[in-house]
Amino acid sequence: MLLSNSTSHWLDLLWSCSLVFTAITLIVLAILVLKRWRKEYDLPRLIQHRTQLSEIFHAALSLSVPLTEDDLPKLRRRDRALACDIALDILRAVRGHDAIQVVSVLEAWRIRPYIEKILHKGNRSKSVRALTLYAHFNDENSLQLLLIHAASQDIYVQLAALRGLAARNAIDHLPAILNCLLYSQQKNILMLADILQRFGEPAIPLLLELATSEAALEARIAAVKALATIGSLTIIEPLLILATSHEPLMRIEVLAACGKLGSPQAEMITLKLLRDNSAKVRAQAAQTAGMLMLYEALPMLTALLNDEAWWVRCCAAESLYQLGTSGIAILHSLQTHNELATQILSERNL
Amino acid sequence: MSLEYFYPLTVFIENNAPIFNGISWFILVMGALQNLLYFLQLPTAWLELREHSQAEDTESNWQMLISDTTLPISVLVPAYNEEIGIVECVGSMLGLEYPDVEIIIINDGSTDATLQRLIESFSLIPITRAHQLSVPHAEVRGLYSSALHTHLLLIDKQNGGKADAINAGINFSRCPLFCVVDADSILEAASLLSVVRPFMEDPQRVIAVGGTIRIINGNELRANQVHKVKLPRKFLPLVQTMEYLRAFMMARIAFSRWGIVTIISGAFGIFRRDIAIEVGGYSHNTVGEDLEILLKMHRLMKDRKQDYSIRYVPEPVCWTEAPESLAILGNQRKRWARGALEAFFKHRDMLFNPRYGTIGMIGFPLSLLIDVLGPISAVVTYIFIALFSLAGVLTIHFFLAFIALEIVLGIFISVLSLTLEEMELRRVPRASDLVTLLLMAIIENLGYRQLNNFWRVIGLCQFICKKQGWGIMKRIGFLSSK
Repeated sequence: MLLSNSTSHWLDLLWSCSLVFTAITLIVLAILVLKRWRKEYDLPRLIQHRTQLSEIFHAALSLSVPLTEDDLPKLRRRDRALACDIALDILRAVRGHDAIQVVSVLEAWRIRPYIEKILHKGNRSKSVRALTLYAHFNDENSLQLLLIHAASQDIYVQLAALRGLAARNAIDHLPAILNCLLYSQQKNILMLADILQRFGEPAIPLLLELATSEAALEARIAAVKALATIGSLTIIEPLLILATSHEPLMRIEVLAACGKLGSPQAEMITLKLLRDNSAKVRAQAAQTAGMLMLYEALPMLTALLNDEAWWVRCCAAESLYQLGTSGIAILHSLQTHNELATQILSERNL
Repeated sequence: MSLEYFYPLTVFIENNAPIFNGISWFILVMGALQNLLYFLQLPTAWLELREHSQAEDTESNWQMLISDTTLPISVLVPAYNEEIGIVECVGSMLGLEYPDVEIIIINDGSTDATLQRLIESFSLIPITRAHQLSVPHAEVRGLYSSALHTHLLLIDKQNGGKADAINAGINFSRCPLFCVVDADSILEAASLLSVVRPFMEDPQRVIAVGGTIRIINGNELRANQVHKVKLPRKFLPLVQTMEYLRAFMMARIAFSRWGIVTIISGAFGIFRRDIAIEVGGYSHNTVGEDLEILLKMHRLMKDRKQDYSIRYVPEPVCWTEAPESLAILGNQRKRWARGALEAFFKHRDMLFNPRYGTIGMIGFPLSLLIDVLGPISAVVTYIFIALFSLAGVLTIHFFLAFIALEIVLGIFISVLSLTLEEMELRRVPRASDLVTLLLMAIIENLGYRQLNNFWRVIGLCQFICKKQGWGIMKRIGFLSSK
């Protein structure tokens, strides 16, 4: 017989434990199946109820005055989540008076304590939803909650809070908001920049402060991106100082901003960065030269057609094309022995 | 057949009792090790889902959709003799909810009407495009684009295999990220928004992200998208539905949390283009190109001592066709096993090499244990259990322990994966479907998994015999049939 009798006890234990574990799991799944059956059973009623609640919200949109508690049917406690869902759906598509009307319905139903509860006790997605709703409220308490969550460690919660503050045009609180970003671990540069630019021109001095601060590189880059999108020419000079940053990403971002703003003040630095050590910086400088219509860059761009990095060569060829007749003439002259010149001319049917 | 026939065998086993006792212990220890790994993976997967689930966070996806700052993606679709469903596949790609996406179809020297169907259906005209010859591929015969769909590019090239086609796509792509999708698969409309999130969250570190693959068989399609999720009606795709669910819900999520993702499915993965180019693109001489490119990326980043992350996110779904016949399924599984071995063998120096950190010390050995040693030990176990039984030396205690490790705990793991999916993602459409999948979770462990282990061992033998090529993979063409 295999294995001694002394082990049989342990083998039996293994068998018994596996049966118990599996039985417990089967019971848990059975409960979940039953719960799902219950939900399916309730689904038609839920759909009908959702339609009724949606109709109330849509009726509110067509009114010129905010609704009060007396104007509405009572909302059951368990329908609060549904009402918030519908409000969020509608708020994605409306602004101004319509958004105020939607919020008035929520206020009339006294949903605020529920929103606060999901903000504090819910998971990430619930917190994001609560903060998105707060973006449309108009009171000090919700504003304070947005400010508190602008310092959240959860990147999505922080973005939702910042988005809410931007939607509420909380310019007076910009120092506090940017203070949060000084110590933030936020790395979602693109979404952060998208939100920061929503604060508009009043945010320029503080964004410049953030861009030149000791904050994490991601926050500083986002500030530069936001500044470029806001688009004021007053930012060029401070930005040009950043163009000498030792971080290639910052130099790239400043060059991109300069190209976007189209400022002649950026010409010198663009010419300088066409010789940068980083290929990515050279590629961006070549792009910016094209965007600025920088004819002085023609010899450098021509030289960059032989750069070791393909992207630099490609951007240089594209910029030469953008520079018009003189640039295209250079591309034609190099057509026989420069692959990129040939490809760009062919791509543009020239 | 009388058991007396096997009397010599009984004598032989009893005379060599220490050896066969050792084999018995090996059987139990290997089974216990595998189950232990699953026991660790399940709570890890649950924790990861609790902390990072995007399932209810529609708001963040919406904000990304309406933003003009989302990272651009090129979707690369290699196609070889896909005339049956290619037009519908491209149609589904054009309907993706993503603000900045470029669809690149690579016709890999198809001998059927794939090219003509695409040209006619999308009014494609020949164009030229500046491109980088950074990774090797067969000669490109022509490029086509459309005035109607400006984000659509068709590359017509000579046949060179899937890896070769993807390499061509990488060269012609101009986005920082690329996503590889099989031509017989459908990406869920919002899948790119979900799968790109890790890149947005941490653009400096994240270099590759994988999404979930689910079985399309049985689903109701409308406008080239899955309109109504339904379970397959046939047994084999149904059991594969449960198998995929278990693999993606448990192992991949856990590996992602541990930072040891060694595979991103070839049917749906998204990569940083610059890193893919630096590792030389996809390798030609393997059928496990999806596994191999990931190992190359790990190697590159570790060699450079650069901090990086490869993630798996369960929410984005790519629907793909599952084989409906045993022969084709067997071919697929043998190829997977062969591909895994080819990749592991090529990068064998990473195994237990401290230079490669957690990947070398944990990720690689675990993958090897699951994909190679697991099936081998399972097949060896089946053989010995049969021999012990015939020789009459198999005790009921040992047999029940074997059944516990091989079948009962297998069912436990499958049911728990299904429970996890129901608790966190709720993608199974109806309660009745949950019951069907529960049955599959049980049935899967009573023959199907064992058969899979046999196929994998055959795959191993094919690897040793240096067999090449993809074998037969007959398409049903779900997209075109609806």
